[in-house]
Amino acid sequence: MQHLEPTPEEIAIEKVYKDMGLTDSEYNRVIELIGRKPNFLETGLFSVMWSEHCSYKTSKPVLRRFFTEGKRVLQGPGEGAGILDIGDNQAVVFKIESHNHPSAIEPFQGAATGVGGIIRDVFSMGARPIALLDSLRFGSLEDAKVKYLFRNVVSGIANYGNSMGIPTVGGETIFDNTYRGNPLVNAMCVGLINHDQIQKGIAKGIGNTMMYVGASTGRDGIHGATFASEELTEESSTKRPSVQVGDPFMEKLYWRLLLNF
Amino acid sequence: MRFAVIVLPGSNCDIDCYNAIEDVLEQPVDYVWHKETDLTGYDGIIIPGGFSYGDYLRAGAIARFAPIMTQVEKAANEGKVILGICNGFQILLEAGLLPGAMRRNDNLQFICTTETITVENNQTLFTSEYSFEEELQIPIAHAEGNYYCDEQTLVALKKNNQIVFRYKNNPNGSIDDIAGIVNEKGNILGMMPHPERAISELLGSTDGRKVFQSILKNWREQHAAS
Repeated sequence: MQHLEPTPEEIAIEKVYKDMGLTDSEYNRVIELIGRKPNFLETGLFSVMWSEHCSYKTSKPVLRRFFTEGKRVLQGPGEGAGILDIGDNQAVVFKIESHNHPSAIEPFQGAATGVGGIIRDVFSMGARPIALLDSLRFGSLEDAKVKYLFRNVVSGIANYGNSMGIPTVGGETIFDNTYRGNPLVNAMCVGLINHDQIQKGIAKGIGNTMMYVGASTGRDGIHGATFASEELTEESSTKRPSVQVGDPFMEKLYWRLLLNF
Repeated sequence: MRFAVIVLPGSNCDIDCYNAIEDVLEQPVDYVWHKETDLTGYDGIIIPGGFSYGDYLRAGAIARFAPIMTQVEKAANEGKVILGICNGFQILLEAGLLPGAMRRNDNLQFICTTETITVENNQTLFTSEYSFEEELQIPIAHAEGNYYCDEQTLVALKKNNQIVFRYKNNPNGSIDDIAGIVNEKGNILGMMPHPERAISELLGSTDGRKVFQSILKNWREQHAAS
């Protein structure tokens, strides 16, 4: 039988892992952890989970400076979204996420899928998403490319939320030439929940069935997050297929399904 | 008077419509899933706004084939009150229960704002509580709200007094500033503005309440007479 994917040996020799964003030392750490050379799929999984987008490996020291504890904190870091008590047995659930690189390459879908991700993180805690906000940084609007990015990022955010029935209620935007080639696109979702409805991503019990649901995977495969973590270069636009295309309708169906559980 | 709020996959104003019936009218109301095949127990049917089936083909084009729609047509023929709001209006057009079609807004943008609309006909089941040419503040939120019909249909709409609401400052390019129409029989209203979002001061306007109040009042009068 012909192997279409590189073998663990080939991955090691040809350093295939580097194309996926893993460094030599990270690759060696994988070998140490699993006690053998990872196969193609495993290498891909590690590269995604250890990417900046998923693990915040370089920004963690900065993020640690935020306060995360307090009387009203029902859920700090470690779950899909944070939860703060607002009294009357109710709480707000919130999540913020950046989609900078995807938005710089494919502004509409890049921004839209950023919204899709945080809405999922809020309703998967058991909450009802009620509002979206955004925090945006762009270069000068006199630049035609910036104007194109700006218009499409804004409509990508609005359109996705709107299709789900969640209004974008506010935000802030700053224009500065620093952001000309690399806009910052942050979206935030806020949800409402009763204390006793909070769901956590904890599963116990050997032999239990695990179901993994979501919209169909596009040409981005599992490497959308890998791409999002790379440095943005002139060649980045060739990776446009790495930007996921949103499917708000499918997400709306999953949301309804989860709320009915 | 018992109401059904049709819930299609992708509906997102269903809860608002449900609350409008509960809060404004204090009448029994149920969510009715698109796969249901029985609407016989209901006196009024609301098709809410949203993005039914993602509106991926064309707004309302897939929803008109939902199983529940044959029951909506049956109810329409029986003369029951049917209100289609926004996506609901688009679905009624696609189903042929109302004449005309929707095009994309003439600026090709999604528009979310509050518009002034005028009551052009206050002799309908849906508007009898308003005064003629009363100006209402009602939110709109749509990308395909540019109502169109051919010349012949427009003449008929005018002749039969089927134009119920007009925009004061046409936001989307709709022919003859049309914001809402009824069918010839007068039991089906389609409108792009959202009356269910204008039922309390907290929401910014109470001008939508009388749509619901008119429906109930007229139903009660008909019911008492029969």
